[in-house]
Amino acid sequence: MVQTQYFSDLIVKVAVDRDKAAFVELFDHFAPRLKGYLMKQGADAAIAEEIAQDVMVTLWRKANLFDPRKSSASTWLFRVARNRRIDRLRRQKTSELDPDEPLLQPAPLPDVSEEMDARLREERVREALGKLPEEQREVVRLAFFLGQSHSEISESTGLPLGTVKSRIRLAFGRLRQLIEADEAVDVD
Amino acid sequence: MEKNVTGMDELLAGYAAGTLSYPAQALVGAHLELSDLNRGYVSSLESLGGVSLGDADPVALSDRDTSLSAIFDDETPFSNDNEPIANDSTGLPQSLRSIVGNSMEGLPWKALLPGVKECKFGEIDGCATSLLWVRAGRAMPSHTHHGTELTLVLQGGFRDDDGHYVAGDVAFADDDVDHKPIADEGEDCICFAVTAGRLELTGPVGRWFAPFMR
Ligand SMILES: [Zn+2]
Ligand SMILES: [Zn+2]
Repeated sequence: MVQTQYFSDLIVKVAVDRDKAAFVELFDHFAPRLKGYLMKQGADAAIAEEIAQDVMVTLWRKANLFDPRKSSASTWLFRVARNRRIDRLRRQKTSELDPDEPLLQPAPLPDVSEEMDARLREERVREALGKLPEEQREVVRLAFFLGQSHSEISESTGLPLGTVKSRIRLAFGRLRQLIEADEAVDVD
Repeated sequence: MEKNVTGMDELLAGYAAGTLSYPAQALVGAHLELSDLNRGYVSSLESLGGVSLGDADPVALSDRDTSLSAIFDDETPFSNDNEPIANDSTGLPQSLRSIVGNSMEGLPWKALLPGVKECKFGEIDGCATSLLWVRAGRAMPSHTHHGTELTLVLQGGFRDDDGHYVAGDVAFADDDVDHKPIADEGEDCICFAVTAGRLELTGPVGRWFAPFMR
């Protein structure tokens, strides 16, 4: 938790002072984790490294868009990595695409809930995940963290495809209930 | 409106993870722009993604020093862009612009039935992608699905057997549902529709790309 604040402060230094030492620290911490994370999701090492580099370039050039009240460094980088990956796949597939067109860059959303800070949100969702029944937590891990398809999950777990589908559907609905129940308690 | 009987929560999780097909990703992004209903859940899932990135096992870069100096050597001026593009008069969400263009004006609509027009954007990542325009009070053509159909209401509203949907809502029709939506009276209904097709796509970054719920 102290760490969350520490990395946020480093990004702010990059944004405000173009602080290279702060950036190097962020780079050394996050670039190898991004690479590892993407490889776990099935990207080969070279592509994982290219996307990690894209993300770090974005951090260097757009650190001013980071708002430490709305997200932690790792959540912000997770989002950038997701969007970079989607951009790359899109360009790879549509040769006629104008490289300058606005890429799939979701508009910054109006505040979700200003009273919920980034750190609290992370704690909440971690707790909610921990409350899921083990079999549901496992399909969340495979589908969400590893990005596996229904049929890949069916193969790796030996469960019939129909069971996989209904279990995933239940798991994400249940996860939502747990997150929102938690929010409701705190609002009182 | 959208309880999880529809699989909406899984769809949102796919959006947060970035595993949806391109048009489904755009559709959910547009939904989040237009409606605050699911923003909190998606933010929470993105936080979960952040936590798992933070916990990921690091893999050393092949040449860390070169990668770093490539970033510092870049002379491009620092960017302050990425401000949201001003909303156009037709209210097209930003997330749809890479598919639809910058505006709904001047699109090549084709009449399907009296009172129903369609503008197709072709099959993207195995999903048929189109805009539908239904005159107020008219019915869309009755149809069944082979696969899943997502419909995001951009303007007006419609009703089907499952419920009533207004601007910003997503209707989720599963395989083999016989479907006959009817547009609300009073205002023409415009929807962005994505239907999962049959293509299985693979490639070097492969498994992420498949019809939106696989
Ligand atoms: Zn069918
Ligand atoms: Zn339908």
